[in-house]
Amino acid sequence: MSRTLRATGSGGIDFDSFLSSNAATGEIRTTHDARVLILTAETLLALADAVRDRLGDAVGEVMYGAGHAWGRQRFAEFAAEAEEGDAVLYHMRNMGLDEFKERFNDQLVRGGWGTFAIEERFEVVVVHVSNSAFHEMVSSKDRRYADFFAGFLAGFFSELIGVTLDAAQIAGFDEPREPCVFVLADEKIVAPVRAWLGGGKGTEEILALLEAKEYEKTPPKAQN
Amino acid sequence: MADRSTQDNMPFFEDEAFEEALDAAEVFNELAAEETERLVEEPPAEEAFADEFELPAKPAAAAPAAAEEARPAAVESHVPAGPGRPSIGELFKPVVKHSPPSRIRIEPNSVGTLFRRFIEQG
Repeated sequence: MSRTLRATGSGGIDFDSFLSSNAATGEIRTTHDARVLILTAETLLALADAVRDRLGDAVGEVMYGAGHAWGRQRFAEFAAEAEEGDAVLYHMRNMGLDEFKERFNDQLVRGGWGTFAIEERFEVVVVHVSNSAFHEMVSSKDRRYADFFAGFLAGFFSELIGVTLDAAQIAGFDEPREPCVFVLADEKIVAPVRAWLGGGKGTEEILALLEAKEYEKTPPKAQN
Repeated sequence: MADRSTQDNMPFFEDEAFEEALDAAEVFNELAAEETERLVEEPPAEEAFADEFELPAKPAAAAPAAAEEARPAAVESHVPAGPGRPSIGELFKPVVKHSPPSRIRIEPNSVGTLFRRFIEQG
């Protein structure tokens, strides 16, 4: 009754061992028994637009919260997979860095979300996302939707390392195929980044401010 | 992924819905006061028993104050009025529970080294 789905032209990703569909129940599930829905870009955008029309400027906060919940759920799936493969030493934060990067990228590539590169820069973790499906389909239409992916990163990495982190997108707002850049840090750093973005600062200016540790000089009440 | 409780909170974002919630809480409070009054006037069998044997503190005697305190707390836990009211993001943002960071050693060239600064501060 169950059969595997084949993805052609997927650049080496083998869906044979990842998704299976059941014609009798109408279900598609991953190897970790997570149920999958295949949605079109129009569906995602319709959902995002409906939330924005209902909530106005608060749409960013809602997208962030939804992304955060998704990131935490995705981490649970990631952790289960890593533990199955004995890739965890005694805590997820002590997983080998190179292996983590490869697995993290692989998990999101399999979901079609794009490719990811993680680096430390100016004492902040920077995440580069290329070929981001979400940006191409949704957040390039309205930059407030970008908070969904920022929330995802914050939720996933907070669970991974056991410290509450915040995230914000600092590059890739305009063109659908443009690479996106996120900064991931504690909220004392990310809150000033949001204020700089709101004040019209560009990506290079923000990176320069991070390098100069300007966030240490920003009074807490002026951050939001 | 918003859970049911989050969705249930959605109507409270509207001032109109908030007013309705306050009205409902007021009706609840009135009913609670009436019920308390009735219990004081017509104590149930257990209280009559307690009176007879001089047992302390009838529960009904403390009920009016308790009911009065419970009403605003029940409402404010969802929608506090004024500046204390949480933002939509706060309502959606889940509480992340973590183990104490200091108990876990960070291995060399691990994920933790990338986040060492935040782990040590956390």
